[in-house]
Amino acid sequence: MKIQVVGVNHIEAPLSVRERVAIAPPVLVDAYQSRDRIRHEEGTVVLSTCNRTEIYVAGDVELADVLTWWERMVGVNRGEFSDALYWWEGMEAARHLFGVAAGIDSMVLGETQILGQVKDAYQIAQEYGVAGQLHRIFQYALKVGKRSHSETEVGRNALSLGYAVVELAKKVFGSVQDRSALIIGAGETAQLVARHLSAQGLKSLTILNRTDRLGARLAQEIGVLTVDWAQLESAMARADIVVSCTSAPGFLVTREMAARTLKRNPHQFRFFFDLAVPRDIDPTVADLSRSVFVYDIDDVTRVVDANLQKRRREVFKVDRIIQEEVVQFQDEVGAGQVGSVIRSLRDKAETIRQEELAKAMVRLPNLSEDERRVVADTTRLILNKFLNDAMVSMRSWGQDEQKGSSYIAAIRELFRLTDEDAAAMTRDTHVALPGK
Amino acid sequence: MGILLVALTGMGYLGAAILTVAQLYDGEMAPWARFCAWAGFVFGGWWLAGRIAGLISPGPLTLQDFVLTLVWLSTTLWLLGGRRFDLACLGAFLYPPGFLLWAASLWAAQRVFASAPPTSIAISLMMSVIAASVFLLLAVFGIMYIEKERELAEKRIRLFYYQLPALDDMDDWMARLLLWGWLWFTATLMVGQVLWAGGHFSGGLGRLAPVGVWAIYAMVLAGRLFWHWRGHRVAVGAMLAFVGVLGNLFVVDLVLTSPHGLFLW
Repeated sequence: MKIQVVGVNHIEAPLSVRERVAIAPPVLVDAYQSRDRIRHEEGTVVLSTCNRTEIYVAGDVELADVLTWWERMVGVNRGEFSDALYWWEGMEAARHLFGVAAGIDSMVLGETQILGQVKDAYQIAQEYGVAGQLHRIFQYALKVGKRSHSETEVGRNALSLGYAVVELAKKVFGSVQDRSALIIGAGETAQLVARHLSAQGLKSLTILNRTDRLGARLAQEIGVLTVDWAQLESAMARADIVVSCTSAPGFLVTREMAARTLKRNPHQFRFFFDLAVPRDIDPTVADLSRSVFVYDIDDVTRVVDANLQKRRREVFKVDRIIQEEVVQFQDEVGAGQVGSVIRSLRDKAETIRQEELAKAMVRLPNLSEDERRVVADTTRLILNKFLNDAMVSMRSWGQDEQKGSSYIAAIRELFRLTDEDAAAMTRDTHVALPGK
Repeated sequence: MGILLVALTGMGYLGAAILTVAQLYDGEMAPWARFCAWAGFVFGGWWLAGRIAGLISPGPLTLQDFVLTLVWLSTTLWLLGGRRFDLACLGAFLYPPGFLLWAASLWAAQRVFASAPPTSIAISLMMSVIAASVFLLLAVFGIMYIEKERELAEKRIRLFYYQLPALDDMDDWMARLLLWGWLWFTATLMVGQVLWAGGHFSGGLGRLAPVGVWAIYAMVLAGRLFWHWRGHRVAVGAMLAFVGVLGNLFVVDLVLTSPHGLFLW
């Protein structure tokens, strides 16, 4: 069985190209219904996300047919995106899909969203009844994705500014659910951080902004409290985590102000995040106590960079998982191909044996029941002995992709075998719509 | 048999010391680290059981017995609870000093208890070895805390940022170990005071030294409970106090002649 993938992704294709060749859900129905234009196709799955559009096909398919089908679906001439195209076949296609599912081919290294998208793409193809021979490869891809995220740290540690704030807070406080946070400002960065913090289920999250209206709108949107600007100091005294991201020209949180708020309990852990430029929080606040940490935007960015480096170091572990699964998949595919030939050969031989035995019994009507059994057993024994060596050799071809395809084709040709599964595997020309 | 078990225990602890540190850099070392840790546990436990039963290296009580029990107990606590409480990283800070302690006790192996200790002292010794194990774990948490705090304060994200528990979680662990360790140690001293002829307040510096260590732990605990000390001060206090424990073991017990100078050449 031949598997290939052709596609474009964020590495080679700019957004202007990706958006034109994307096979969006409304187009997908037509695409799957018209896949009979791809000759000899035995399974199709389209994976179309913001960062990639990939078409996986099984069967003895010509690449040109796939591209023709694709350009018809999206109405874009292939010349307009051929420079960004990549194409893989056989185990390289499997390796590519496994890498995609693991998130190492993603724009945000190690992200987990792509695994869900691969799963969705496969399930949709299943619902439409078009996944066909791609069933196993996608099962393997999902397995690789899960293993990569559970056995390595490729998807761990924050890569966004907003989530890095949460991660840093957790490095000090452990769980942040019983903590209070104060966000000073209501701009874009404040909104981003507020959403991340809110998602952690803090004990209290308060927003404070010079313009009440903006602060109130953000507070309402994410369902948190808002306080007046005049209460900055008292709100700060109650907060374990303070995030400031305003466009104020000078320090909003001075050393003296911080000293007053820390006075009651100088050993309590506090984390100040100053994400503003120019800075809102006097950096010398960190000198007030060893339990106080002050991180500015450069510090948080450095954490994100360190996290990215850490994820990159995990990629080799993911590669190892991919390699293991590719080998296993290859063995399974090989064994599957050989298995069907062995079954066909044995079935054919058994059919011949039974036919000839029946004829012989007609010509020997005087044989007793025991004698008939001996004759039948003898024919079976001859057949088994004759086929045994061939079976052993064929099973060993399952490990060898070269032999697995060429030798098996020769066996089929020699013995004029028809694949018993062929009928079942031949795709339906009619595409079943989900729910119909 | 005794020498073989000591050698196997040492190899287990040394392997665990190296591999638990390696595990911080490469998680795939974890099974090997655990294997060595369990080896140290099994052979060390075997040796201790043999010593108690008088089947292995029969002879008087030595400082090595005390230190090996201390290391064995603290590492056993880690083996039993490390994975459950997500504290696998603790092994990297426990085994290296644990192995060094154990190795240091080897040269003092000939330092024997003057005579079979009376029951009162035996009880006091058993209780104090448990307290010392808890204090060793407390000191290890102190080291971990200081290392992680340093990385966060210097804003240089390295190994400990990723591998060690949150500061607040380590602070909680230190508070628990400090409280229970101190209470147990208090009970140990009280038992010694009641059962030991002359108690801690007669017989010179040797007998008074454990009270000094107790006072350091009491001060750190008071700071934690009443003066809101968090993290850094408790960590430093725990490490300093454990230096006092080591001083009791390797200086007071070996150098001073009066009890607590229990062991004689």
